[in-house]
Amino acid sequence: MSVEVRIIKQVPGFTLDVNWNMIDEVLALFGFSGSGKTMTLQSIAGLIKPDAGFIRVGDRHFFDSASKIDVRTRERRIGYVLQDSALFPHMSVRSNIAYGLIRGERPERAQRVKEMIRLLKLNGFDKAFPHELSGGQKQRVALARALVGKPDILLLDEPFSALDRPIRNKMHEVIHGIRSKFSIPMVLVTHDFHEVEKLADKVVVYSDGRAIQTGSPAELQKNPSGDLVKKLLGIG
Amino acid sequence: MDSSALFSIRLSVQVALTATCLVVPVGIFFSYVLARKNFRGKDLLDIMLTLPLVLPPTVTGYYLVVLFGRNGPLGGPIYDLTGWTIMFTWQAAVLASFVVSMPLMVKTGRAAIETVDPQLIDVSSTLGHSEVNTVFKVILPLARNGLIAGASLSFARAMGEFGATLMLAGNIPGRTDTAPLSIYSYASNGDWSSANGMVLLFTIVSGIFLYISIRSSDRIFR
Repeated sequence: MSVEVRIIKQVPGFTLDVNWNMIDEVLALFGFSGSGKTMTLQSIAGLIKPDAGFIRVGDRHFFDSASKIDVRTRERRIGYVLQDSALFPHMSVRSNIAYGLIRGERPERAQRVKEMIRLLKLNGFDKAFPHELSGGQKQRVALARALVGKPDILLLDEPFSALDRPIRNKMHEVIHGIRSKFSIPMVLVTHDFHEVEKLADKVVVYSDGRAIQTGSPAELQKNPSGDLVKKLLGIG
Repeated sequence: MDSSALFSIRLSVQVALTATCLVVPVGIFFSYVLARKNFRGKDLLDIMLTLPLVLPPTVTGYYLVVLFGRNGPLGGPIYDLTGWTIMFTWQAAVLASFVVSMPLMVKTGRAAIETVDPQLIDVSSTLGHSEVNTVFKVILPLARNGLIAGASLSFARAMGEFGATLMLAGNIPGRTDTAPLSIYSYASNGDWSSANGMVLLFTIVSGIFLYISIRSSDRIFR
């Protein structure tokens, strides 16, 4: 499925002006904090409204300023995972995951939740509450909840940056597993190039609201477009 | 305790319970609107809902008499349609308690709703849930302790309502003399022993509800 993003959004002191596309791959939005990566994800999710541009996922238009299309967040069919997992603290693991399923018969839904628990290796934790889980487990629940409703696109906003390196490496394997099971585009926001190398097929380098370089992680390393990209890669 | 004292206590409980049952849903609605929405006139709405907290209850009562009296803009049409007026009925005491205890529900409820992590609300919508669904499944359960605190404060305030009730419902023995009004009557007639009993009872009941409120609001921030 293809994703096309063209966003212009102005807020006091900052302008986001980006244009990129992808097809069924893992794309990383890579750059320093405050460069507009999260704002881009929020625009795709419909949590903020761009001033102009368009956002298309497959043949669906999420947003198009020219034809005044702005599909509501809840109708966009997206999976969204945040850095601090944002699990509902009053719900068990099972209820958190089931919350991502709003359609379907009860037995069928229970079956889907079970599948996600198995897929994300959460067996035995289904009755636990978020405060009883480790950081890595919380993010696995957040991924299960985001994926259970079979979204058309998965948005990951620095999902592993709060985790220790060994747990992070395990989570990268989880993402590879998800990738082989669900063939959906994934957009990953990160400022960790190691993560980009391990997960992404394509990188869009953000700086101060603009996409300054696009390419594969290898291309980026071989041919950084300027000092800023070198600095981001830690080679400048 | 004689039968008139018992009547007053029963009436007070009845009035406070009814008022609280109305204050809770209406107050939660306004709490949510003030906590989560931005619109023109938001400050004005906030002021209107808070005014009864700072106005002398007699002034609140005066407004209610003007609005709901037989010739008032609200009371007039009701009287023309039904031949009934709320003035000097127990329902008038409910109305007075409702208006006076609303600010406590709204202030506490708004604070509780504002403590709910906005990311959770965003995530709920990305998962396909409507705003109403998110309110009932995420926001209200997470704001629950603050809402309980607000409801118990409102109940205590409704139980103790005096000024606006006197203006709107009068102090009719056996009809609208709630416990606070009875205490006033006992004291003005020099019946100190009856006053003492009811004052003591009131202090204990209000203390209990304040305790519930404090314990619940403690838990908001845990």
